[in-house]
Amino acid sequence: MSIGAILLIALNLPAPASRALKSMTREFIAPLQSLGASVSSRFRNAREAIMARGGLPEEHQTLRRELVDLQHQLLELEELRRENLLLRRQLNFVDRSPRELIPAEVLARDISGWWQTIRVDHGGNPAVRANQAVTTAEGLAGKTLEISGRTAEVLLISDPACRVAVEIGDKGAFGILSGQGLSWRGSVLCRVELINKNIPIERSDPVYTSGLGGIFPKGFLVGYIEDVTLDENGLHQSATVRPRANLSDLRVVFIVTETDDREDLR
Amino acid sequence: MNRLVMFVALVLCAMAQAVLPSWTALGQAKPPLLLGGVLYYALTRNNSQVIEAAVIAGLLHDSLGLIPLGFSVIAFLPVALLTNNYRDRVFGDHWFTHVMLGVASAALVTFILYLLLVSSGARSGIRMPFVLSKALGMSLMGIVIIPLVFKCIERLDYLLGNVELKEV
Repeated sequence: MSIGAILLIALNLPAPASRALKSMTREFIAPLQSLGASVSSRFRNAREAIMARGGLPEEHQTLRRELVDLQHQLLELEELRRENLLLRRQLNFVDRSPRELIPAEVLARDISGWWQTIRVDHGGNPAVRANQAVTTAEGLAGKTLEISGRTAEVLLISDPACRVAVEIGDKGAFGILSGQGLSWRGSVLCRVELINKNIPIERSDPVYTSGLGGIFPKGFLVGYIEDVTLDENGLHQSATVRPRANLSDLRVVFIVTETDDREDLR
Repeated sequence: MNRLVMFVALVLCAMAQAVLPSWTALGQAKPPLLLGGVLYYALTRNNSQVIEAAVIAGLLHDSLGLIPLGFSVIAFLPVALLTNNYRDRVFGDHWFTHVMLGVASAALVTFILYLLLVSSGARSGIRMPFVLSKALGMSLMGIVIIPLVFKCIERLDYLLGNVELKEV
């Protein structure tokens, strides 16, 4: 009888109360999961170090070269950013809020396998809210869904429920990207629909967020075009996209937040 | 003590299930560890404790994912009660019983959850081949996972003095 009552209450809880209850459970389990993730990460790192032992000096040299290249690029970009800011001011454009990337460690994946989600530990950062873009160093990963004190549920772009407004290269072709789940081999594919059929799209064209949907800021790399087809009705093109981020092996992601302070031009 | 052990065992099962990777080739099936915990209590305890185990496992399952709260309780309860009802008519200690239970109940729970998710609108666009492959994946994993969960919780129960270890 009492169990029936608990079940009835659980099923009819208002959304905020249900979220609070879920959040409490996640908070309770988060330290244990964090510990588990840390142990598993140590094992993985040790295994990778052993496997890559032979090639370490070469890898070290390559990384040093890349670091120098990137530092040069960063200086150039900084100069361009200042110039861009100055021109925007002269044109009376509204300043964009500066973005902040909050690192978050991946704790677990969806427990049921019905969704393509991960749970991340954002360390209790108050700037993290629902519906913020989540990215990796390689490319876009997804968006935040349910936030609790220390953890956040992230819906990956491989999930059919995750829709992203995208732009293909610099061709002015826009579309809506949604996930196609995982293939039996474990590879992730997404699909962009509603692309203007008069714009030629080619294999390997990069796909970026267009910033039109309101959740994902403009300019984040999503992936590359695999193939393009004409829709059944012949009005639009659709394209298959291979995401740049390795969504089946995520360890650390970055939650994209926008700070309220407007940037001053010095 | 008995209830505390049950709670700890189910929390550990939930944690492990969340961390372990899914079987992508078969509908992203996850190892049914929580279900294994529920089945263990269904075969070894009385009716009220079985219901408690199903409710705790269900709420944990829903809390650690996007499934609306209470759905997994509805999926776990019939399986647990059915198993508990027939526990005197099966060889509850034999691994083959655990294997068969794993196969049948993992598939049943998958179908119940599918019906609940689709009818409530919580998840749309799920194709039947995906559900069938997920049920198959869960069943295949159940063959290995459920006897393993039985052994682990049985050992834990024995170490903490909840049950006497049976001679096989």
